Amino acid sequence: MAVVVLTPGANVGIPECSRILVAVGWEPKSVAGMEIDASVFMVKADGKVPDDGYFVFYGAQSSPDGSVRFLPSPPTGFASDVQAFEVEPGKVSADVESIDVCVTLHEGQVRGQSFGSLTGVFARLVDPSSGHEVARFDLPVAGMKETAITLAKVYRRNGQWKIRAVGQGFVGGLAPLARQYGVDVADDASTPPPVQEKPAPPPPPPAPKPVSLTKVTLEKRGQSVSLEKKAGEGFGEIVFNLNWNQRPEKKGGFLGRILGGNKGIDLDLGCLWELEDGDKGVIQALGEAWGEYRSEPFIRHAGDDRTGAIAQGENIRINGDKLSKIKRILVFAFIYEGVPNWAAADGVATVKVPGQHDIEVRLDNPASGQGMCAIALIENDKGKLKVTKEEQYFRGHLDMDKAYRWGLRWVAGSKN
Amino acid sequence: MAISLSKGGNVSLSKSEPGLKRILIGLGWDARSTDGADFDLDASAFMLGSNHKVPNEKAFIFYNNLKSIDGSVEHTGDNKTGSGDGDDEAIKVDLDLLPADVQTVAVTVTIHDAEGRKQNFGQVKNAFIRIVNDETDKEIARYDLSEDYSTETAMIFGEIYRHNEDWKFRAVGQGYSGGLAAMCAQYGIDVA
Repeated sequence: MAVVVLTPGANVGIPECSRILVAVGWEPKSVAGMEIDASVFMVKADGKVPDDGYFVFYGAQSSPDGSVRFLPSPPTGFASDVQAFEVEPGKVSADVESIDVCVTLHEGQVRGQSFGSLTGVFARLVDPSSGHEVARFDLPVAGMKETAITLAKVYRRNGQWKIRAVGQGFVGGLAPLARQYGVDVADDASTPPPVQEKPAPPPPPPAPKPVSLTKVTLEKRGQSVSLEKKAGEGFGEIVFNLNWNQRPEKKGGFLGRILGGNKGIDLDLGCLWELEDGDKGVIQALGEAWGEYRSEPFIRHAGDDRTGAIAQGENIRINGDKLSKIKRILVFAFIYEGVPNWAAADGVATVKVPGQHDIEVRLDNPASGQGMCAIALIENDKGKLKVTKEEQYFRGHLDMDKAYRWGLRWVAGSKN
Repeated sequence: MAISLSKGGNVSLSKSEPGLKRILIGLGWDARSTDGADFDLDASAFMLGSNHKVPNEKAFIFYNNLKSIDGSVEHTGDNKTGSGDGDDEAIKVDLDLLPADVQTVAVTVTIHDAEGRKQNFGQVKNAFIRIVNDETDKEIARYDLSEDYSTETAMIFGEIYRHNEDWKFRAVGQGYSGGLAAMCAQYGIDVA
C-alpha cells in the first residue's frame, strides 16, 4: 500500500484495524540543553479533555479507557522514531472525538529554542501488524517560533477514523497548549507569561505626579501607553535606554556554551524614524548614523556600548519638543556579534520622559537565531506620545523594515 | 436536512423550494485558537452574463463592493478572523431583483493571502459554505471545507443560474489555485 504523505491541513482515512501506532520523531534526535516530549490529548467534540486522565505522556502513560498507551521506545524498528503512541480505536471512550498528538519543547521559550531550531519533526502512522507506514507528515519547521504544537490528530468522522496533519501551536509552550485542551498545567516558575495574540487592554495613562519612582511595565506585545503633554509645554528630552546583562560564564553550563565562552554579546541600539513630512531613515552605530537632536530628525544616538559593561547601557535621545514633526520611531536592538541568544542578553528597555513614569519594556519572549529585535514603537498619536511594546524578532534590518512597511533601501555594512 | 449534492450535481430551486425569492449564502469558520496569522476567509459573488463574464466590475460583489447597483446581491460584510457563531460572512441574493441580463450568479470562497500565510482550508477549524432558503432557513446544500477541501485555498462553491423560467443551483465544488485574483481573471475582471 502506498504511503500517504500529508501536508499541513490534509487528512486521510485510516484503514480499519484493531491497533495503530503513531510514531513521532525529530532531527537532530538529541541536542544538548534541549528537551522534547510527545504527548496526547484525547478530546471531546468541544475540543476539551473529559478529565485530566486523557492527557497521556511520559508521566501518565495510559488513558483511563485503556485505548491509548505511551511508548517511550517505539517498537517500529524505524531508527528515526523517538516516541510513539499505541491506539486501539475500538476501545476509545465514546465521547472522545479526537486524539491529538502533540510535541513540546520543555522550557523552550526561556531557553530561546523553538521548532524552528530543529531540522525536522515528523509523525508516522504505522500498522503494527505489518510495520508498514500508512501515512506520514513532515512538519515544515523553517521559521517556526512555536515551542508546543499539535502535530497531528486521529479523529472520528462519519463512523470512520481519519488522521489529519495539523502543525499549529503556541509560542508560549505546553501551558497554553494544555489550556486549549482544558488541562491546567502549572506554568514553570521560570517561564515567561504566554504570548497573547490579541493586545491586552492598555493600562490607564499614569497620572502626573511631582516625583515618582513607579514604573509602567509593558508586559505583553501590542500593549501600549499614551502620554499627554502638559499645557504649553513639550515633552522635553525623551531618553530611550537599552540595558542588558553580560553574564559571566557558567562552568560547563548551557548558557556558557552557547555564549561561546566569556565572549560578551554586542547589542546595538538603533531606530527607524519617519517624520510627518515623509522623510525617513535609520539611526544606528553601524555606518555611524548618529542622527541630530536640534535639527531633523530630532533624534540622536548617544554612543556605542560594545560590551554591556557600561552600567547605563545605550541611549537614544528624542527631542520631545519636536514631537509634532515626528510620525513614528521604531526602536530596535541588533546583536552585531555572537550567537543571537536573547534569553542570555536579558535586555531591558526604558523610556524616560521628564515628569512621567518610566516605561519599561522587557525582552522576555526571546527567540533564538534571529539577530534583530524590534523593541518598541513610539508614535505621535495626535499630539500624544504613544509607546507600544513590540518585541518582534527578525533575521535582520530588511525583514524588519518589510514587516513595518518602512520602505528604506538596505545594503550590507560593517562596523570597525 | 440539506440535500446532499455531489460535485457537479444540480437542483431545481423552483421545484425544491417553490416560491423561493431570497437566497442566503453562508460562510462560517472558527477563529484561530493557536498562535499565528488569523484565517481570513472571503465569500464573493460574480453576476455573470450569458458569456459567463461580468459586464463590469460593479457586478463583482465582495468585501470592497458590498452591494450590486440594483440591490439584488448583497454581502453582509468582511469578517477577517472567523470570530462569532454560525455564518461569519453571508451573501444575500434576491432573485426577483436580478436584472434580466444576469444569467448566472457564481459564488466563490477564498482564503485571503493564503500563499503568504501558508494556509489552506484544512488548517481552519469547522469551515463550511452553504446555500440556504432565506425565507424558510432551509439549507439547500453545504460543503465542509475543512474536511473535504483541506488542501485547497480557494473554491467555486456553486452557480445559481436561469434555466428557461426556472432558477437552478449547480454545486460546482471545484478547488482553484491563485486565490481571488485568479477567480476575477476567470470571470473577466482585471485586478491591479
